[in-house]
Amino acid sequence: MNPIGTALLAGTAAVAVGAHLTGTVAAQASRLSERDLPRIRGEVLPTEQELAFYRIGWHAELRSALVAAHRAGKPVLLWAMNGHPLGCV
Amino acid sequence: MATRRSVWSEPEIQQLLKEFVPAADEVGRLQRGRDRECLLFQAFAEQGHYKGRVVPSDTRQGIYAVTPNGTFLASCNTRRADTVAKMLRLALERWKALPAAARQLSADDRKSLQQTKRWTDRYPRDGLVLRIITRDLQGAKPGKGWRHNAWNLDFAWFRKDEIAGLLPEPRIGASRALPDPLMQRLARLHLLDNVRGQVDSFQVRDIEHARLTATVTALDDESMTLRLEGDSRAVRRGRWAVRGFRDHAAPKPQERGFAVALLGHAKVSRKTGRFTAFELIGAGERWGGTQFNGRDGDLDRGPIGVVLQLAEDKPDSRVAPARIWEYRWR
Repeated sequence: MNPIGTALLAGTAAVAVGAHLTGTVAAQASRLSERDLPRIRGEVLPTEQELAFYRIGWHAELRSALVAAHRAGKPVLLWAMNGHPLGCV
Repeated sequence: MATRRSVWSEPEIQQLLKEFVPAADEVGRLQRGRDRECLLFQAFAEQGHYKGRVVPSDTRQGIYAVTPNGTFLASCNTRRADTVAKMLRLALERWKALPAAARQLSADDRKSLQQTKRWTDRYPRDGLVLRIITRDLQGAKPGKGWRHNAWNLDFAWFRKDEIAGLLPEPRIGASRALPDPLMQRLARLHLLDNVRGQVDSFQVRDIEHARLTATVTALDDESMTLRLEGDSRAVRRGRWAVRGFRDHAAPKPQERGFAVALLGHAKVSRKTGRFTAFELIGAGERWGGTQFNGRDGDLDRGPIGVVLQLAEDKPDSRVAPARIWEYRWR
């Protein structure tokens, strides 16, 4: 586990056994330093390969796609999900 | 979310899609709404792969090919690129067999579609739009299949009038805490474990602690640079299902939580009052699960990260926050 994860887990474990919440959370915040940011950013952000589905150039709504398809003389391909496929699914 | 990679990232699919106008949309509104856009969807969805289905759910999610006037061509619901490619080819065959007049959207429908009311009509073009990415950090329990190294995204919107409440006075060292209503909104609706799927929001009473402070670190005639620092902890307890449709009839006592430290930077134009840069990074832990967030088998505490960044203003980023109705915007 990375040091941040270890530190935060340790901090929150203290909360679980009844430590003072505000102090513990404040301690967590102090453990997130500027030098940690590049590593967390690197772990969280999607890679170029993971973002390849954006190359398709989606309409984010059916209504605009239907009108655009009418003008372009093309059929519509709709990807419909519980939660917006280009947002939180 | 697995479909993003397994289907839409495939070069063969991307090539086939050049013959289509591609759209992505949220299915719940489309299958229940009463405006013309929703009625068109409902008509073609009832000819598709889930027609008439009510068990285990009545969802009509999936992949559909239709003409501009909503005539059904083909559909499927799969994570397999080869199956989608086959469906697309079938749709193109059927499209070519139709006379042009049978494909076109009527003038009345075009007008009705333009009059459709959607949340995206409230996209805060002159405000602040953040893209929020979440993912488990190193040390998390490995997931199986698509759950391994999963990530998710959402958007957070702030209107122009709300941004004013974020900014300290223009003086180095001046600071301002995010006003409570905005901080609650951020903590309840956006600091969540949605890594493997949509999750219910937290309620106000679940927020044990939440704060975000902006401090001026640099200032010139053009811009003001801010350091952002804060933390959030939310815990919800109750009875609910955590195994999708497998335990929804027998919910058990559960607890889920999300606790992160937050740190980042932003830059604001002093002339326009708009953010020209914004990044807020969070790290902490999540625990528990909900019915559909894919944490079955991974309910213990685990490290999680979140990155909130300025979103580009482009069509595929004009997507409403997942729980926009809880913004209570009038």
